[in-house]
Amino acid sequence: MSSYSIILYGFILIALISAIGILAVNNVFKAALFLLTCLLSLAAIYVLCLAEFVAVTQILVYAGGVVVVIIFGIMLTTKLTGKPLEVKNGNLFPGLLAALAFASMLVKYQSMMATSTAELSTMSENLVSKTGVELMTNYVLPFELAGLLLLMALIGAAVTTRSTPE
Amino acid sequence: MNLQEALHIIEKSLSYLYPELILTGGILVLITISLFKRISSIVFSVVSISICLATISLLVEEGLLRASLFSGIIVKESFSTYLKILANIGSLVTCVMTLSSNNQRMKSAEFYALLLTIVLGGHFLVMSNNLLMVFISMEIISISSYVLAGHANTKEASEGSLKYFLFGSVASAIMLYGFSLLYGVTGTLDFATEGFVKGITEYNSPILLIAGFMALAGFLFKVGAAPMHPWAPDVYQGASVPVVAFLSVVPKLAGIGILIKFILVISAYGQSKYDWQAIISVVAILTLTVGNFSALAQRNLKRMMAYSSIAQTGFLLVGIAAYLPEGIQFMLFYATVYVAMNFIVFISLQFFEQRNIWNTEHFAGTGRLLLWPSISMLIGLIALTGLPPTAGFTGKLFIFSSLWEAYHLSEKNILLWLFVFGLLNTVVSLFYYLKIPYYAFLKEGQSVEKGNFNLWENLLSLILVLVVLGLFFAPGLLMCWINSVNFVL
Amino acid sequence: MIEALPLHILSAFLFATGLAIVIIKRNAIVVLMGIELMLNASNVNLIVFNRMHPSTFDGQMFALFVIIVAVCETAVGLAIILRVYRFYKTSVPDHIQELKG
Repeated sequence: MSSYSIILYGFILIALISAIGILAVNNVFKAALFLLTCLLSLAAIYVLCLAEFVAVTQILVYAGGVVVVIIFGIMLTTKLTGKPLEVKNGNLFPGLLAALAFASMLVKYQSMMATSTAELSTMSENLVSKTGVELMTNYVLPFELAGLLLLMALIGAAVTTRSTPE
Repeated sequence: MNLQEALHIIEKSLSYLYPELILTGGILVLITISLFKRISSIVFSVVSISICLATISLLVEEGLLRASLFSGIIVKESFSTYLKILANIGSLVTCVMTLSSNNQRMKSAEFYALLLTIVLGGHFLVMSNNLLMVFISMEIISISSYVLAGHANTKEASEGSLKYFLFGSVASAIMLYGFSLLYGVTGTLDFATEGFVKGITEYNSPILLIAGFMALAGFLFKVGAAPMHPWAPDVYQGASVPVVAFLSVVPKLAGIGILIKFILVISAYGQSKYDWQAIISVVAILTLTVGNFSALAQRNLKRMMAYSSIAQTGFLLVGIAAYLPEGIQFMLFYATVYVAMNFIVFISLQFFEQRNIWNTEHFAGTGRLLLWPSISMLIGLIALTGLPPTAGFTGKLFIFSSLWEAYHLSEKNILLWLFVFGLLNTVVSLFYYLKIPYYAFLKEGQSVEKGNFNLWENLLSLILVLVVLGLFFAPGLLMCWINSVNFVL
Repeated sequence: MIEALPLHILSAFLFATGLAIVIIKRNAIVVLMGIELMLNASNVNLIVFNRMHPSTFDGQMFALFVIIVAVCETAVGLAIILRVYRFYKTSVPDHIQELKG
């Protein structure tokens, strides 16, 4: 087994364990930290899959932005009640059953798709500049729409949390 | 492709996007204005002018047959243009409805900006020919809808919007996973290309079925069809009436538009091994039954209208399940009538709600004192039931006749079942729709103050009632136009 | 050399875990985390499939847009959760049951 595979398997293992960790712990804050670990190890996996740009975005936006926002959310909501951060479970059996069904079904059929392995060299050169060119040519419309989406999310979040009733 | 060519394509594509550019301009102007002055009359005129301009520019290029823009990720054809015009009309009516709302939040610039964003997202959604475009325009609609659903800022509205958000995010995550599998199977995101269809027909694995179902979950959520419907009653009950009227029309039509394309593509134009016609028929049966039978038990009028809109989605799905060009054309006719009759009911509903009438029992005796609103509501409900002399009857007749034809062509039993269930459900719907006019006109009740619509409500209901009645006597007027709509991918 | 199989298994399990979290956990913020996991599972898929179809850049681009959308969803979602909190003083969906019919 090459060192590459060992690293890949390692990160896959970390991602899986931390994902199950979110499910297993009853403390919201710990769950957020598990989410952070999971997202960071996914970023590492993206690097190993030669998607460096996505990996950097994952670290900057997901791990740096989303998780921080979620932790803020936890802080704000717990501060309002003063209750501990415990989370209760419900629907345990249907939940696990659905998850198992999905997992087995997807693993069974999706693993059939893992046939060919691609050449590494074809995609690796000048990835960032290629991404930029793609974003401004073929993907310029979704790119602009994403800008609009961010603007509306900003306005929406501001409108939603505005406390003074008009 | 070199850079020069790519820029040329973008430049050329932009010249086809005037309606969307006008809407975007409207959104930006609204946001800028609201930073300085919060005068509702200016805000309202900006919104209505931008919607009207967008509609006019849509009408101008109506004859356009097909234009593939931005290297094929969106396609403009008459089918999507028709749905876009309907969505614009729906949003215009909603804007006029907000004028008589007594909640000041409904008149803020942010509200209208979110409304325009949903319309814009709907425009792009019906034009999309690319999974990425579908995903992003669907999210634009969804995220703005979550905010709109809670915009009234009451306890119920917040609860509705939380449920909408949780349900919707899960649905879109499932849909995204389906998209990723479809991408894996076909190797392309442009779902109208030959490569995509070839990938679907040649790849022989149940993963296609799984991916299709997962993607379908997102679409069914958007149109509010069973089994992805449970958000609807809570959202409808909590949100304010103009928002509900809007959400029951614009996102639904956009979702229907993309659902048709997706079903055609996933079944590889009928070449697929899996029978997607049967699947969509089962979904339609389920939606009709769940919608109508749950509506029977409702006493709150807004909840009832939620289930009613689920049931109406079922009828629209019947048009898709017919799998014929006529089916889609009749579906468009029904969608047009649905917009009109739905808004008639919601305009009166807003009027009644402002007088604290929202349960069926509260309607007792209102027929005499609130005569005109009650009559307009009666016409709207008769149309929704599908009784003559309203266009609701004509629409249902058209849709079921195309289904009958489809049954004769394909001899599939499931279509016959759908036919039977559809007719049965029409009878069931009679009971809950006509319960309100029954209370209003035939029962004595507590005295309410005499009242009538204000000028705007009167004008709007009159126009919509005329449309609903006129299309019964002369459906040809609209069918002429719809017949010129051709559905190409 | 990249091995695709473990990555497929990873994405399937991430998706299933996310779904389980969504169904089981009784806290809106944790449900949000589950949704993030589901979106990330799709991202893994998109990137792995992009390696199988290396002629275009579609998968990676899609993954980038998914990240953007996830950010918007989280922002709006947390805003909605916070407002519900102000009204109900809880973020447990089961306790939020005014609407019934």
